[in-house]
Amino acid sequence: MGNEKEIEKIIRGFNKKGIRYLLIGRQAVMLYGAPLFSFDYDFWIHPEDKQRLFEFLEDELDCEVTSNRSERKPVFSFYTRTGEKLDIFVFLYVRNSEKEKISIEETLKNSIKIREPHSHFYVVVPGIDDLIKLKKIKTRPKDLEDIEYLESIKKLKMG
Amino acid sequence: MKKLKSMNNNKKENKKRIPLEILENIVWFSQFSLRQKLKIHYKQKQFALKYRGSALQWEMKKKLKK
Repeated sequence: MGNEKEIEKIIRGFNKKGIRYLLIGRQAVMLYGAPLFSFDYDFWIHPEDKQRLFEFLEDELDCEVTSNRSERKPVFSFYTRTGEKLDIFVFLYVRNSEKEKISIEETLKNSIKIREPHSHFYVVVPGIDDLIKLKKIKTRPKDLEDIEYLESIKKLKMG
Repeated sequence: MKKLKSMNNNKKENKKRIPLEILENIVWFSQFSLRQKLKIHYKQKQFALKYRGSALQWEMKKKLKK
């Protein structure tokens, strides 16, 4: 797997295999248009698709994983052969600091596909409101910066 | 009519509240494609932002000279 196209290959695989995922975290904020820094990729995976995720990333792409597939850990990481880190979150719902319940089912329903023009390639990200809610889970300074960008982008889109 | 006017004013207010620096950064970043955004490495981004900063300064200097 070539370094240059590694993440694209993974996302293409998710799309092709019907693995229900959402790219969350800073990478999603970046795809909305915010010029921010991120070392890794955060994916929220539907718990029912965990087995298929392991079959694809560990068996097919030979990624190293920090957890055994039989363990019931809700958070773990995969490392690709070229060293990229994918943080995986596998839970049905989460509550943020404002006690808002964010479920994967609802977030998937409201999700959007960001597409590359003239290509079949796309990435599934939460709707902007859900992404803001997700950013309120930890509210670290970098999350607040992300929220500021997302609120600005939302205003621009509405305007 | 009054309602429409106040809605318009609200829209203008909303637009005004976006900090200029953030707006500039968003506009600048929009030149990158989805694939480019996904693959931009941390160091490349640092370089790009640094370069952008100096490019902006250069633009400012040009304007000030005029």
